[in-house]
Amino acid sequence: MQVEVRDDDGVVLIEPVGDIDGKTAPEFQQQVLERLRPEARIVLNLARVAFMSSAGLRSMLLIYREAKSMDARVVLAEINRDIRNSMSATGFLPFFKVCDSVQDAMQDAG
Amino acid sequence: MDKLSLPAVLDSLAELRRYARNAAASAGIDEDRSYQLQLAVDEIATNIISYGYKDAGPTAEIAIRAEITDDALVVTLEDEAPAFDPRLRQMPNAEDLARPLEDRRIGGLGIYLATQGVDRFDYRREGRRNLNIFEVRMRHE
Repeated sequence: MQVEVRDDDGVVLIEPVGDIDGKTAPEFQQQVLERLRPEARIVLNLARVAFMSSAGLRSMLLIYREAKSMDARVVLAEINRDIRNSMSATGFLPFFKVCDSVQDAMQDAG
Repeated sequence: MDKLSLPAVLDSLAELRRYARNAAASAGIDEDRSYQLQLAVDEIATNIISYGYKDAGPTAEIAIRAEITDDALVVTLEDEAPAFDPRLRQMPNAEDLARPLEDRRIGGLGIYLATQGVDRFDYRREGRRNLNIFEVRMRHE
């Protein structure tokens, strides 16, 4: 799985490209966890993720916990409706800050 | 649709989803329900590959087939792993799903999403094979 990472004025923008399933979730997770630092500000742009299974949700859960323990802030951007539905059905959605656009997310995280 | 047999490895998940998506398109099922079907197939296949076939050799296979009738699209996953009925697995209830993420147990979400995502989910053991059956009903307007 390809994961693009860019540092933009103190906010780390992470953009996974492709489906996040049982095969690709470990790499997605590792790439995000590697960038988590105490008080880090991270935007996770999911614009180019069309599919996410529970393996991806598990990664999100671990990212959430790790961020919380480090007092880091992770903002999600541009989640498609299908993934949003899965996050809602599993009760994940209320725990994440979700923005419609990357610009909004960068501002929110910054 | 012709049955498709694939190696029982996580690399096959994308192909299984593509098969489910094509079957849904052939049956005229809308995008939302097609995604739910793909998710259901993916979740159950992930379990079969990761747990059912955990100790299996490189020749292990997972197969998918689809039948379209007037009333429904029925997609079936077939494998020869030890018997496992996903419906017997403990799934999170409303209370579990309302818990803060800090306190969540990891696991059980996949089968929950799979069984929620289709109109009927069924499991049968036939000889040495597990059959996991996903039904999406036609909505005649």
